[in-house]
Amino acid sequence: MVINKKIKRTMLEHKSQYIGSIILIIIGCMLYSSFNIAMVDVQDNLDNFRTEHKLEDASFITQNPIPNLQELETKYDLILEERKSKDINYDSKSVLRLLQSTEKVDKYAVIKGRALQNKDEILIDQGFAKAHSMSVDDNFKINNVMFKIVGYMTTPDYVYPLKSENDILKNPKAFGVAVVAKEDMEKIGPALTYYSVKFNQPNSDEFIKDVGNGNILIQWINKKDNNRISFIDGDMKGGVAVGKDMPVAILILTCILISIVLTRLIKGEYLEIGTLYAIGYTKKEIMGHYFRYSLIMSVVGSSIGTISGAFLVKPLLSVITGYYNLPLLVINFNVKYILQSFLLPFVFLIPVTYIVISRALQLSPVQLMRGGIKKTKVNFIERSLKLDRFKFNTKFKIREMVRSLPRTMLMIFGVTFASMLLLLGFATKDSMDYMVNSSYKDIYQYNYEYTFNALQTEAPISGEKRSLSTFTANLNQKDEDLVIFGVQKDSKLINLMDKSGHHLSFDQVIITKSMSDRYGLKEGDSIEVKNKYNSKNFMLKIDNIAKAYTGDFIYMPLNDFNQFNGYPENSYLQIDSKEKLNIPSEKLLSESNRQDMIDGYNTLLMPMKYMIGGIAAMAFIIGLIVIYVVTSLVIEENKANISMFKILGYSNKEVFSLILSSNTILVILGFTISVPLILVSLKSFFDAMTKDMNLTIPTQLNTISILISFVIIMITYELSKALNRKKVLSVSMSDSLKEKRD
Amino acid sequence: MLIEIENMDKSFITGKESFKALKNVSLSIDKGEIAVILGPSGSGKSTLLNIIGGIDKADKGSVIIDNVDLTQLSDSKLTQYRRNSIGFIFQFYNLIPNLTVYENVEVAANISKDPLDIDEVLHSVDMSEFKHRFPRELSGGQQQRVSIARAIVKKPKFLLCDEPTGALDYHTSIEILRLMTVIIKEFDTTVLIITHNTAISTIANRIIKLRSGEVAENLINDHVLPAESVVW
Repeated sequence: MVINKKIKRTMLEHKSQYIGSIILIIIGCMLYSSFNIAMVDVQDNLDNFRTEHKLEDASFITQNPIPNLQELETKYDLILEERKSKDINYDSKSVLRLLQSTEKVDKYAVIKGRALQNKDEILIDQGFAKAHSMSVDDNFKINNVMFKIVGYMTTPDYVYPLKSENDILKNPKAFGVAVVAKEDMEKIGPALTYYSVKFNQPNSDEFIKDVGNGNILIQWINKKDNNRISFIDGDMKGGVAVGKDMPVAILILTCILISIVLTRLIKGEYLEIGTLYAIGYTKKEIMGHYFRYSLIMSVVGSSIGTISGAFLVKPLLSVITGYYNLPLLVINFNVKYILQSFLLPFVFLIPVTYIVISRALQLSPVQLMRGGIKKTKVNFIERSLKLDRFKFNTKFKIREMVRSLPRTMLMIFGVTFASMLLLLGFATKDSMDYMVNSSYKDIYQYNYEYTFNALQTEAPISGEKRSLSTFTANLNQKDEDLVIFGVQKDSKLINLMDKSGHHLSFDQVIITKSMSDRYGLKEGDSIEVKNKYNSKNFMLKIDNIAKAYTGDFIYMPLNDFNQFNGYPENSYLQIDSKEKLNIPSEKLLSESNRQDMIDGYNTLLMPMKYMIGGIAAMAFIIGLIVIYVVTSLVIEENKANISMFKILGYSNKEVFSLILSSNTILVILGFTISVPLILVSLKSFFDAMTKDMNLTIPTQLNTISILISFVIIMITYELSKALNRKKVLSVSMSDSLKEKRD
Repeated sequence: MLIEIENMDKSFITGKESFKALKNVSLSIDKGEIAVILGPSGSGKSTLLNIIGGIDKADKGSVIIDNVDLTQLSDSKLTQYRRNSIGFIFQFYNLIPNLTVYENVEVAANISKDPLDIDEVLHSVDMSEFKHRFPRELSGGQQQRVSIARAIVKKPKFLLCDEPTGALDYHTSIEILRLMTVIIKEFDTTVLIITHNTAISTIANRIIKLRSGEVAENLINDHVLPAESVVW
């Protein structure tokens, strides 16, 4: 149809509005395709890796070796493997955990290089290798044995290489894992023995009981309580949410924008539409013409967006595999998501376009040729505004805001969305900061934590005694694992605070905020706990809740802990100390250094800063598009007014102030709304992400972050105003002289 | 003389063509006069009004208004000139649709150094009772009254009227013309009306006829009639 020739011309005439809409569609489709394809790929690869390399269901430590592994395997229909690990000091600041190569459970996968074939060969985790400039084919000495690095590897139980399964932050500079052959492990010297088990039947309770029979179970960790295994699942949930929710929000924003642009276009062309009707064009033909605008935007936007999204998959996967210790991922461009990404804008825009066009075409040709139905009624908001006490400029701006409610809504929604994106980065960092500070700096006052491989009864040389054991409790109708610590009543090295910031003494039963949130436990509630290792049962009444966000932990007095569990009086399993203690390594299960955690967090901050920067850039672009388009709509709708102001003698500065600054209040309002919204959204996001992790991320947003975000949004606003100044200046005074309006 | 134009030319370029809208125009208007510029479409009436109003600039010649040559003024000085000296009345009223009657007058009062009281002005154009209404709730005549109020609230030296009755029916037009003559006296203003309606010229002291961009006639009307007597 010949009338379609004008589509290109119209779009070029108002290019900012159409380009802005297309960019929003591109961003939406790009996020949708890249995140969904990448997350599916990661999940598929992770699932395959876990299946093929036999991820354990649990690992445990016993006081004495288990002699009858084969018998237990047959009896309980499970896979059980004895494992050895030894922590060696790679240098003065880092520990490398050597794992004995396994055959049945948690089998290693080679990421680069080759598998172990000969003696004195070692495979190392990629993060540690990079942090210590180690390469394949390098050699290094362990206890006088020279090992050759033959490759990089990962195991399903060290996808996130944490020193302790309760840690939350990895630090490749301070800790890494490596795999050596069984014979080489023996050469190195005495190592910690532990067991990994994979069940085929739901019979873990019976198995645990059996293992504890005539032996002492020192530690039992289910895979879901092992942060090395479970952390990636939480992050995957976060990634999937970003891939699903964010594009939908962007496309809703685009829908509002395009519906306003199209409504304005059609209203401006009533006369032409009427004329086309009059000369015999059908409604279908006219509708088809206007449909082409959103179809063109959708096709261009979704094609570019989907293709660029597909290109982004690889870098995104590199980031994920770089962060987690994952085997090389096979990239499958899932056709489903590519198709969905391509079609998504159509799904959103076709109904909106149809509604907008149908409404306009309800008018008769005569009405259309007269420029539509003359509106004589004043909307109730305009009518009810009592503005007499305000200055003229204020009145004008307020009236401008209420005149076009969809435009006002777009402005508020757009600014709110852009601000939320911006605040998302800051709030994530602030929340992590808060969590790390409260966990590692405020609560734990010790620098070293030593965990013994058997209960100790002699008085410690130095430091404070602590004990722990894993328990099960029926919480929310499910048997859940939790850790109870027995702490010295006069402990100075663990500093728990209640919600008001008051120090809590250890002559009472205290639970962490993380645990309270997860299971809805309050002060005064009682829970029955059962020691996983010796099946002792007892009731605990919760006296207080501590502001602690990592771990589902219960703290109780050490004496009571020993008494309730039937442990020897004054016995303990851990020592906390300010100074480094000289404890023989064969007596220890693990040793951790608080500073390593803090350093680990600091190394994490750099990628987080990039993330915040990336999100901020996207927020800036979205904010700029929305504010620029809305401001240009305001200018177009006010062309005659601008012209009139100029004729009346208003200076350019005064016209800028009246027209361009009319949205200031909306920008501020949009930003203000975004603050509580991001806090609520982020809380549910963190809750969903950490649902299966034993930590809670407290949502925090510092005043300085709010201020920085506000400044960025205002800069976006000022920039879009500056870009629109030319448009205001180009409005001619003669426009008003020739104008015919109601 | 309040307005003195000498040998003024103005051309417009459309595409590759140059079109001379005003050719060698010379005229003068005294303080307190009502001058009507008559002419058919394309005769250059609006261009002349725009140049006198400081909206457009002459290419050649001088346009001396109250002893100031507009051709020598910068854009910002012209803005000051329009702000302080000119009141416009348009054929289609050009009120701001989302402002009330009162606020539409306030648009002009807002930038005036010493504006008249808005309520008084609205009273003088008989629009006090409609001051909270929006333009779309008014008839054409009422809208033009608001437009007059907006023009005079700044106490302008000149009132420039572009076909002020062009969009109105006969009776409303007479009513508006009557109001204008009353207001002009009340506020001591010089008026320039452009129209193609020759009947309106009977209320003017001076009649200037334009034809193809040139002043064809510049007459003094010794038999000024009251607005009520105008017939067409």
